[in-house]
Amino acid sequence: MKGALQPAYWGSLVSLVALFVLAIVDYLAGKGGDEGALAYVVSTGFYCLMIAVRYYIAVSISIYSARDKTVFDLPYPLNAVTFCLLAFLILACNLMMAAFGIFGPEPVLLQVQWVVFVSIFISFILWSGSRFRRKQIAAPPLLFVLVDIVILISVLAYRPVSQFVDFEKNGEAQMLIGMIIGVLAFGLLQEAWKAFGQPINEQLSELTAQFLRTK
Amino acid sequence: MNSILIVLIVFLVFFVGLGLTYRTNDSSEFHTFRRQANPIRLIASLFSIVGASEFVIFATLAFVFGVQSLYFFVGTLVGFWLLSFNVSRIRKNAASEDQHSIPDFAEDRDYYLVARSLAIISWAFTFTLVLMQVMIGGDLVSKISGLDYEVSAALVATAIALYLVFGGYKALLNTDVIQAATMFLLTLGLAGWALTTTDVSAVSGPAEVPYLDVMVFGIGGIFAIAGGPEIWQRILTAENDASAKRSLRVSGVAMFIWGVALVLLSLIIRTTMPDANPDTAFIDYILTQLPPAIVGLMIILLLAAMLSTADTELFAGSVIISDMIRGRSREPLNMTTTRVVIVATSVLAFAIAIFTDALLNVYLSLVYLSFITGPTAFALIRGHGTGPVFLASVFGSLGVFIYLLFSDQLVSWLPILILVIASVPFFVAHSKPDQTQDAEAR
Repeated sequence: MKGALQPAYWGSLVSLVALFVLAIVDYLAGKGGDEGALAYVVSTGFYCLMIAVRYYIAVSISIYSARDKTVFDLPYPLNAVTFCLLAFLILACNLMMAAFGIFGPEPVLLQVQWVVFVSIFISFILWSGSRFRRKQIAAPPLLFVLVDIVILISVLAYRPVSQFVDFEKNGEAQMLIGMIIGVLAFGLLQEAWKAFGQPINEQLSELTAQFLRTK
Repeated sequence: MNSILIVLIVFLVFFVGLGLTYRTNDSSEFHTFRRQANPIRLIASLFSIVGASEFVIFATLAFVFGVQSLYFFVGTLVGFWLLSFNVSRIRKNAASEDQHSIPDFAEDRDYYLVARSLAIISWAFTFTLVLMQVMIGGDLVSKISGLDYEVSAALVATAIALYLVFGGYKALLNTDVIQAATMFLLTLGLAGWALTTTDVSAVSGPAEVPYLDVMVFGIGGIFAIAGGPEIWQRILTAENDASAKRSLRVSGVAMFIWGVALVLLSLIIRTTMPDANPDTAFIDYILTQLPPAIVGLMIILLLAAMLSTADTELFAGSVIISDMIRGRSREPLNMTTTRVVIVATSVLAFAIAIFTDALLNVYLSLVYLSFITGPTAFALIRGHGTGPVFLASVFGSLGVFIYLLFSDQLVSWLPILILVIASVPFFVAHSKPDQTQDAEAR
């Protein structure tokens, strides 16, 4: 793994953990009125913190691996900084609303999250563009982007508190979780094969050759 | 936009992105993976010729034929092993003549008209499979997301085309490993789960099965593999003869095991939902009988299986047409030509998918097209037949196929007629030039 691909793996792993924590907290939240709403705010905040942390890691590693470039020369860390700010903005919104006692589907909060959502797509396009122009930048870690989008969907899907009160009985929500796990599992396996496929192939060829020689 | 639709779109975008990460500008890598395909990739790719549409089709067949639909998988096992015994002959001039699939063997004997006819038949063979995946994929996406069927089919066809345009054979071989593994384990797991939730003693098949139909279907299994242009493409791109042989044999066994699990599952579905429409029974069973979270997981895995088969077939067909356009030249295949054919084929598959829902008929047409390609390919590699005989047998069998197809008689023993006519060159000696005289003259 080289360059920007490495933080992608770290980021994906952290996001995966965040997703499950989010789901668990959401589930628990479904069993209690206002406490549930508070738990939702905390979980969203946790998610945002995760995003901030992983982009911080990504920025650090990217700068480290491309010392001859400043943060603003690279489209990827530049976006990462933007995302960090946005993530903290969402967190701030959540905390503010928690402080003022506003719970439920807030249009402002939804809009902010859509900004993040759209900016991820823009970053992906910029990133791919830079990949075409400058071959030295590592492959765009698609899974990194994918995980972001999936997490945001899950946040959006369970946005109104009233929705996850019946989570246990909500078949569609459960199906959605199954699909998200499916996409993540498929993505992670494909990425793992990309990283480890060749060594596995070589090992197997060697083992087969040894077996045939023994025989 | 609903959340399920967003997840589906994300999945398709990711799939296209996979093609992007494997992209290459090297024609040899794009078309043949530099003829370095090793057993893991080959086995996965050979196995993944079965996709989401096969799940549905074989569930339908198990409704009709019961446990005897297993004969088809006995046929595929025989087909794989039959090819494995002929690997050396098939691969003899693979690299030197830049061979890609069945039509190249006719071209190497200077039977250009036969080669072109075989190219079009092979393309039609692969096209039917692409069409089926687009139909099933479109149906699946439409059912769970609420989108119109037409829009869903367009989404699926676009994703497959873009993925292949970027990544070509390299992407296909690499992504098939995970797709084949998940599909294999998924079927076994699902059959196991169904067994634990069903009263096994109540599981039964249809009372009366037309034996002749089953037998012909079993022969169809042999030639669906032995006459499959995409299978020949994999043999020709293997790293060496031993890898190709090993891969064919393992794939045959894997597909047979998969077939047993699928037939068992289909019989359980038949018992659980006796009044279900056979054509939609499999999808209905998944959507109604499984826990919702597992349904979500299944949908993604089914889509992965569908995309994996569609890319295999779409690429094989497109390379064959690209090879036909290249003609007698031995220049590397033109990547742009192949890409244009990929896009054109996808558009055509989408266009036809809108107007037809006769899935089983499409599949049977596919199986019986292999009755033409299979025997012809074997006669070519074993050095039998002459140009005019090949021409007559290919056009004769194609004529019979078309007649039977359009008169709705592609049933019972009648498809055997196609096989018999296509096999004629096998019994005609090839008049080779006298090599002794040539040597003396030199």
